[in-house]
Amino acid sequence: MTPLIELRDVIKSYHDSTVLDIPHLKIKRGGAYGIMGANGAGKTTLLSIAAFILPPSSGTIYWEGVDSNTVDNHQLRKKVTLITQNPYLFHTTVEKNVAYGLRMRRIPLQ
Amino acid sequence: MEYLWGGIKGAVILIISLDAEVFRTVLLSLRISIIATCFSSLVGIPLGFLIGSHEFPFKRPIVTVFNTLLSLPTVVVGLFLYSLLSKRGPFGPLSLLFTPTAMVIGQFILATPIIVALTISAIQSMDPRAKITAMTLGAGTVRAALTVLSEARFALTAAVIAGFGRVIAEVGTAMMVGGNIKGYTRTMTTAIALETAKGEFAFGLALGCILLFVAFSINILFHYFQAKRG
Repeated sequence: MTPLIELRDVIKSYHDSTVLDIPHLKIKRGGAYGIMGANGAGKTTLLSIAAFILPPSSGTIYWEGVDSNTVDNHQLRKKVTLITQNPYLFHTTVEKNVAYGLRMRRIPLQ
Repeated sequence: MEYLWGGIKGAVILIISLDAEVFRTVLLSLRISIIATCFSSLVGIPLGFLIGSHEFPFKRPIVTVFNTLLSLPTVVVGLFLYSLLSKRGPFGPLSLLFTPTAMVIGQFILATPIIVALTISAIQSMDPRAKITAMTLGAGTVRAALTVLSEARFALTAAVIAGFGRVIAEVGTAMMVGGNIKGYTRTMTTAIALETAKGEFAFGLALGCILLFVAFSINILFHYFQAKRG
């Protein structure tokens, strides 16, 4: 069965420092996964890359077997929701905060 | 003291009687400064956003240049623009010297660095989670950028007001490239300088009061919207 997300030889570097090096990772649909690591190990970076928010420095990400480099990442980003440990609220009404994601995905508010 | 009171009395009479010359000068000043600030905002906010939200080589020197341009002397801008627009200058054939257009260009040059520098500062001080949150909720690059700009709206409004404040109060550029032509390029500041030199203290004082009133009104409006939306 094709994994939902697959990372191959994914590396993320800032300047000359490599912060993430994932030779191979498969995430299956419906699975529950735990990612463990020390502070600065790259857990958030890995999630940001898997959610198509952060582009990797090298390597390939596959979404349902399709190379993400061949697809508009904005469209892929709409399929993934990432909830961070410190959520951010926009400086507007609660209604608009709740509806923001729906509007971006063109889902009717009703 | 009598001279001062006489001037103040004359200024009040000119304002209350809605003196045509005073109000023509005020309206021209506002028109030129608003147009220049609009163009500066259209260029300055996107430019400041791009510089503030991206990392690229020579970013720091570029930011330093914009910060330095905050204290750009108005007469230097006037002199530089005069040399470009005068008959012997490269843009001489356009016959822009001593026109309101030349004054708008001059004020645009003065206001843009202020708006760029303050936008950079506003964007850099933003919580980075704003952009990330927008993107995790499905926003594209442009929509995420607009969301970040919306989050920084108060700081950006302050940047635009600072730019407007700079140009409405400047005299050097307006005098040099506008020429202080009555009814055509005479603004509040150039009129104050000229009329006071001629001994028309009341006229200069009336315009000075209106200039302060305009600055005060804009700040009141800003604080009103800030309180309403904040």
